[in-house]
Amino acid sequence: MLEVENLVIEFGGLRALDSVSFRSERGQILSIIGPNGAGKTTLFNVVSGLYRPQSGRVFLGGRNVTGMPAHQLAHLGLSRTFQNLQVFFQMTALENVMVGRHIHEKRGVISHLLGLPSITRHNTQSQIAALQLLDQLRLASYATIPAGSMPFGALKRLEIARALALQPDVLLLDEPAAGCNPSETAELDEIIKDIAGTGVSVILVEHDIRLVMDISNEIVVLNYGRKLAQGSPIEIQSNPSVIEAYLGADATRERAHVEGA
Amino acid sequence: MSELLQFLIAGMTVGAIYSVVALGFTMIYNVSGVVNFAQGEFVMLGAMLSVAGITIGIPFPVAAMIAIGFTALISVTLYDLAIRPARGAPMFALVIITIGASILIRGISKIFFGTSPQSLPSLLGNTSINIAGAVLQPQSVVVVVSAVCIFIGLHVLISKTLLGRAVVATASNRMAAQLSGINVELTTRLSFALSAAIGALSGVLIAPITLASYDMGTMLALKGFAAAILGGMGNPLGAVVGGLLVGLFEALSSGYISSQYKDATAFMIIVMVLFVSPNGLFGKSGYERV
Amino acid sequence: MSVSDVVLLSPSRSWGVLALGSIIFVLSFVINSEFHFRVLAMVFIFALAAVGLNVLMGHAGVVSLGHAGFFAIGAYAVAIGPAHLGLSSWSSMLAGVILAGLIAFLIGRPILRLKGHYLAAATLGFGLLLFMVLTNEVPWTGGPDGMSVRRLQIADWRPAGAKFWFWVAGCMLVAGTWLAINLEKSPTGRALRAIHGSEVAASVNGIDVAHYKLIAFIISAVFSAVAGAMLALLDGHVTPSVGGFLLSLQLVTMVVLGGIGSIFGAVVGAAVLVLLPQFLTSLHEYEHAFLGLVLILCMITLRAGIVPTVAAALKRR
Repeated sequence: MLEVENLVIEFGGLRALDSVSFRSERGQILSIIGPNGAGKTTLFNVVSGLYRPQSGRVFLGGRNVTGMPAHQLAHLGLSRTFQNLQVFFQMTALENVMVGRHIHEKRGVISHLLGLPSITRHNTQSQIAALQLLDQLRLASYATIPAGSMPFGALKRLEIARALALQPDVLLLDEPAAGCNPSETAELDEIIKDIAGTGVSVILVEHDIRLVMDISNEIVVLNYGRKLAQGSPIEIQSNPSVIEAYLGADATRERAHVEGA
Repeated sequence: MSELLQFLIAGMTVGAIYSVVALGFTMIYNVSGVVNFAQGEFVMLGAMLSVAGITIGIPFPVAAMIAIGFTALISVTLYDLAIRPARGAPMFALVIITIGASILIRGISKIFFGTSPQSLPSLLGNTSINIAGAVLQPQSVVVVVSAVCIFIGLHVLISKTLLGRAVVATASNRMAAQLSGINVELTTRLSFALSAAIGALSGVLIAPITLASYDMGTMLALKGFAAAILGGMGNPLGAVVGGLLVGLFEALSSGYISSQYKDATAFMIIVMVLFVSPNGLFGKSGYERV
Repeated sequence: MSVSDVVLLSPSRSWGVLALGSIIFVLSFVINSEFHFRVLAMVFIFALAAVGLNVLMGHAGVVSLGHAGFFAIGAYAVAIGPAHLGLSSWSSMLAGVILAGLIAFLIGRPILRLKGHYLAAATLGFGLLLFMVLTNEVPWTGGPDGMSVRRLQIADWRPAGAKFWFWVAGCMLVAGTWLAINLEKSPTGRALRAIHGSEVAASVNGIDVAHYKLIAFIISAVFSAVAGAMLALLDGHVTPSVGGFLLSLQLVTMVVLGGIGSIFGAVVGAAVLVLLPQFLTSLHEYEHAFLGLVLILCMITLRAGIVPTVAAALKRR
């Protein structure tokens, strides 16, 4: 579904991403993990059209979309959430999700200005769809509350609801479990699995290793902007270079020592 | 040839003033992240307050110094009353506040000083010097030389003194500076005071040539801003170069194209720079962090 | 919460338009002096421009310091059209409005790519540039003294008098408010508010930020041009000050004071700023200082503006 080929991006001489490649499939959950500063969010920013890569290519559904601006990628079925919560705080939860439906709504500024009946009908349709999503993510009680008043955990789910309203083929989730307590994380577990179950290709950036090992079909490990390893959770767990990257060379020696003894 | 020289002289003179205004913008922007639209008003205040001082009998040099000091005080008050309380406010709120401040100052000045243009004494007398057919006012020399002194003085201050280091640190990372023991509030206040002082000084120096009135601030702010962004917002050297370039473009277009639209040059420059190279001549490009 | 619950919560805004219309209707009976009709006509005219500017500032989050420029385009169109081009007042007004929209489109595309201070400065530059043109091109515009505006003519009737304009401006305001409310509830309105909230998030949801900012810019320009044309026809005379920096500031202050993002806030803000100087005639001298003070105080203490603050207080009761 989403294919990334030899992506390179530099910031003032520092290579944040160095020839990163991977591919995701429909209905699959692919997680990207790595120490802080490994380039995970940067990768998302390039893929979602916010940054331009110096070289490399991005394919969406087989189509070359390298360098395309974010709003065009949305039309092609790519959606994402943000690590630092880019919620529309002045709008209600319902309106936030309705924004996610933007690409499915009827355009035409003149008809909007005149408030034509067709627009009212579409508005109601959008509202219904948005409410369903809010329901799905247990946010229905916040529908008419300004997002600024919502608790943190709810806001994380709101971003997901908004991203889903787009009806994406590929969904990028940037640290959805960050700042969540164990029960919220368990909830997310279910939500993400359900989303993948509908055929969406989910790509996850996360620090919560337990969540990642639990739900991922495939894991990509980044370190210093390079892809260190790729494989199933079991393969990654026992990969010595991954352990070394996270815990340092001493830990690898320790482990070898323990296993050897 | 003498005509060209004349325009160049005029351009350098006003350019020097734009440079100083631009430098003031840069200083405050670096230390507080705010573009202070009131910067132009400081130039006006320097001139008008000096005139007021002379009118009530204070000798010119003393009146000028009092004017500069008072303007610096107004600047710090502006920071304390209007900008500091709005810390963390969204961008448009800060824009509106500084615009409001500049109009407030302008409005109060109109009440106190009236609307007629005023002049101040030239520092080196009024006999013009003749250079290759072009006329050079001695005050022009004063303006340019003073501007150069201001730049050098600021440079020395920033790079050689503890205060200068504090300013750079605060500009770079406010919280880190604070945690290092720097009194960031004091540093910010001093920056505001200093940028106002140099603005006021330039007002005192330019008034003999271009006259001063309560509404000269807006145009100066616009042109100083154009200069600052031409050179790259936040870059002091850029401010200086930018100011000179704006002054020269203005004088040349006024002489050769149309004098009626001379003020439009600055606007044209802003427009062109922002489209071709939004970071100006010396600025760095940035990525928004998400 | 069901859909019917949510839908029922929306109609409150339509009540606002009706209320506005009713107020205007009632006022027409209460007021009986030519002077008062004139003042109210001016309130409606400026309110219309403010409502338009609110779409740009409140929804798209753009601070425009040169909006009087569009106001002036409308005003000078109805002056120049009949005087120099032999057009009727109506077609001149239409031409002016179209011209304003066109200019907004042309300068909006490049300018709106800028952010924050740069954008504000660019709009300031535009306004000043237009002011210079109006002051300098004497054969066309009459220069600093301005020119006279031929009164409106409908068939053989030459309506003059403030009461006529009270009704016309009042109806235009109601119409403009209705359009603005429709916009707010529409996908375009949500797109604009999303942009104001977070441009990055808006773009990943398929919103072309530049495109929508341009739409907001054009709509606000058109509203201003219509308002400007009405003012010129009401006054019978037009001077470059109608495109001046002070007027741009007044428009911004109306929106800020009334509440950025609030349509009725813009109306209230306009009413306050037009009516207050009438009560305090000595205020004229202090115009600049007053505006500056209002802007600063508003941003520090009453950032949401009058209408949203009052609405929130009422909700809490």
